[in-house]
Amino acid sequence: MEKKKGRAALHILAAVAFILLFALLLSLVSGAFRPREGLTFYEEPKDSLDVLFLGSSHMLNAVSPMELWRDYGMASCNLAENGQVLPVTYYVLLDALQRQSPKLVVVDVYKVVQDTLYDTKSYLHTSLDGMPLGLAKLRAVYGLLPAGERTEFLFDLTLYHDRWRDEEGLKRETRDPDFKGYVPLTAVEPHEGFAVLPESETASLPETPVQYLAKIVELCRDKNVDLLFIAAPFTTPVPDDMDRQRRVNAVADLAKTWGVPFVNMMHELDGMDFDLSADLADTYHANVSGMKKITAWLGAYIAAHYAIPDRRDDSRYHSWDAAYKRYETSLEKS
Amino acid sequence: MVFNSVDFLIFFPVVCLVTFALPRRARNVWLLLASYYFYMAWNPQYALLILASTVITYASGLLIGWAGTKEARRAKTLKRLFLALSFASNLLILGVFKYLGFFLTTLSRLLGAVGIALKTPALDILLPVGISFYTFQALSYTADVYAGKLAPRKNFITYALYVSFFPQLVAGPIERSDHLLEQLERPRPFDYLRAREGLLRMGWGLFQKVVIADRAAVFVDAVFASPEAVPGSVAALAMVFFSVQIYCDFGGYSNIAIGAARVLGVDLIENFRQPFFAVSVRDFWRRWHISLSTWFRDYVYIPLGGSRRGRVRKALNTLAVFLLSGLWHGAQWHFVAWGFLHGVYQVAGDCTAGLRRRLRAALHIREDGAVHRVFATAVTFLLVTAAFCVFRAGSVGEAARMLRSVLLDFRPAALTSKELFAFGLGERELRAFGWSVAALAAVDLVQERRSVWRLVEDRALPVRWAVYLALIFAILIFGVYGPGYDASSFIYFAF
Repeated sequence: MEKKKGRAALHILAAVAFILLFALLLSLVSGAFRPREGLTFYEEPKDSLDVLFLGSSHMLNAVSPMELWRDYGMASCNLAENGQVLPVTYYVLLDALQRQSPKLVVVDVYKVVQDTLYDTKSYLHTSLDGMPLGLAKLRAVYGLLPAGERTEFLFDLTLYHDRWRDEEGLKRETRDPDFKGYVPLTAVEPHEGFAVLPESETASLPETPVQYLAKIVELCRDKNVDLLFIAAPFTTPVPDDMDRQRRVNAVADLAKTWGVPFVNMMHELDGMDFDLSADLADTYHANVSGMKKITAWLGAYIAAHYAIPDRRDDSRYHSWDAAYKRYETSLEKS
Repeated sequence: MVFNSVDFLIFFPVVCLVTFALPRRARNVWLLLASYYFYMAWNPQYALLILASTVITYASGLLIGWAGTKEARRAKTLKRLFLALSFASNLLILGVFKYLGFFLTTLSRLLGAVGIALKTPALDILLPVGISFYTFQALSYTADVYAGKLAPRKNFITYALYVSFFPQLVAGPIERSDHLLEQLERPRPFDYLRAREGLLRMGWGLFQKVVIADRAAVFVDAVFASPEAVPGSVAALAMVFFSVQIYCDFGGYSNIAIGAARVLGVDLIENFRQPFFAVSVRDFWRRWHISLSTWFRDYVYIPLGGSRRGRVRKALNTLAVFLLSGLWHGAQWHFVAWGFLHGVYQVAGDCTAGLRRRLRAALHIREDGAVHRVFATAVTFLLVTAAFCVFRAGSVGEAARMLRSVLLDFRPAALTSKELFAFGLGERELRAFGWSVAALAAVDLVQERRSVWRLVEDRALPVRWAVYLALIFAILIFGVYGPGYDASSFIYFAF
């Protein structure tokens, strides 16, 4: 009887060991098949970041943390992604706040124009694939996707395993970790003469993004983190989409009721010397020149309103200086 | 739910864990509930059909047993009556749900041909999954009790589980009461070695299904969708692919069923034994869907007299069995034609046996020699593959057109040009398919001599684990499943 019990225990142990080994291999293989590396954010040491930027591509192409490092010694990271609508932003932030304890979170609210839980599935993958499997990711996947569509997000090998068929094989897109999440756009597309509507012109907001903005506010309050809404400068195809401006304008009232400061850069263009004919890469996104102006202005704003520590003399941040040098060189090259 | 689904991936471990956690007496009740849940995942209403079939055959067993207590002549009549009632009512259910539409359209076509118009009612009956399988299984019980091979059973739960046991419920193997029922009545303690072997076998079955069969299907579907536009050589390749596909689809499913049952402590009968190594069509049927061919042998062929009543009667019996087998596979004429073709193959094989023997003697070829074996295996494969073309094609005419293009418009250059990649599988996929078929051939080659499962299970732990993990990741990476990755929809830097 004793012997039998001992053997059973051994079998259970073997089964558990096998499952662990399988899980380890699964995560390695999944990583190898993922078409891009995860957000560089996940490589930052725990509790090392003081400011986090989130939002859609508007934020992704508009704010470069390295510029803030150079000017203010701010340790920040850009977690924005293409097509990251506000519900997704909420879950990315939920996870990020378990890894980092920032002083300030900055969210670009442009996506209030969109009444969906996620944009395309591929965009949802860009935002979620890098996030390690954990409670926050489970909450994100269950919160954003209906039953039957979750597997490809929780176990993305079920989606990416087919990539061996592609001519390019398992080639991966990597983002330079020295850019701390910022993605530069170099094109220039002139949009002079674009009509900026006055702040008073607003339109009613869809339900979903407002609901998730409220959740972001609540989350930051719970975690005792300052929250700042911004809207980076953008244009829209004229004349069909002027409502986007009206909707972004409408965030001002909402932010006021929540007591969250809101900087709508559409109404600060002159102050930041933003030139619609030279600083946009396309209809919606800032190019490198636009980024420099937006980041400089925002940096000054943050420095004036929040007590973000200067980490330049902190020995734990030595790597940031070297990273800045590499960032500067590669930005010039692009 | 099907085996190759996420649902089953959750369902199966839960069922196993609960089964072995429960006291022995409760296990069959639990497995019965699980089996009905498994079946009702398709359509809850069909559970009524399987229940009806269960109750009828269960009652027939008791009634035949009761009749046996009467005096001899009366007993014989009564037993026959109950046997007939059970077969008639079960086949009636099967007939209504599977064949009614087929018979009505055929009837109206026949009448139409002699000038009588028959308006057939539009039937909207969905074929209940697995009805052909469990009906035959349930009927084998009635037949065995009638033949005195088996005492009638009183325990309804165990009997109901025999009819609905989820591993083999929807696609076989078709079990026999003297085999499965008796195992379900015995206690089945958890056995670590058997469970391991069962899981390995499930893994291999899944590999056959999602790596081999489902990839072959892409090519086969593309070619069979527009056969007129395809060179004969590509059509021939598609036929070969279909033979591989149907073997791995069905054989893989059987392996999963047998493996799953094994984990639960139940041995199911073997259903496939390396069918493409058969040296004759008759040999093929001893290796292909064994549980069905033995069912027909025991309950149709032998009752009809088998081979004991002369050569003509044997030929007729063979044809009858294979016509029925064709019809069992589906209520369409091309399935019947497929069955008939197999019957003809075997009758022709019997008729030419003497001739072939003399030819071998004249050429000094030994029947058990390697040369003859390879030749006979190749010929058998071609015959079986040609017949499967009839099985797969939408109609007999279409199959004939395809076979004609293979014979008259072969154009072999198509096999070595880029043209080959136009049928859903690119170069990399075809190469991967080739490797997976090589793995299949290797496993089957080993299986001809000894159990490949034991071969793995007898190794040391590191080797075993390496095999398990290689198999799992081969399925995860090369399997045809998931939402399908389309690189063009994954442009990260938009605009």
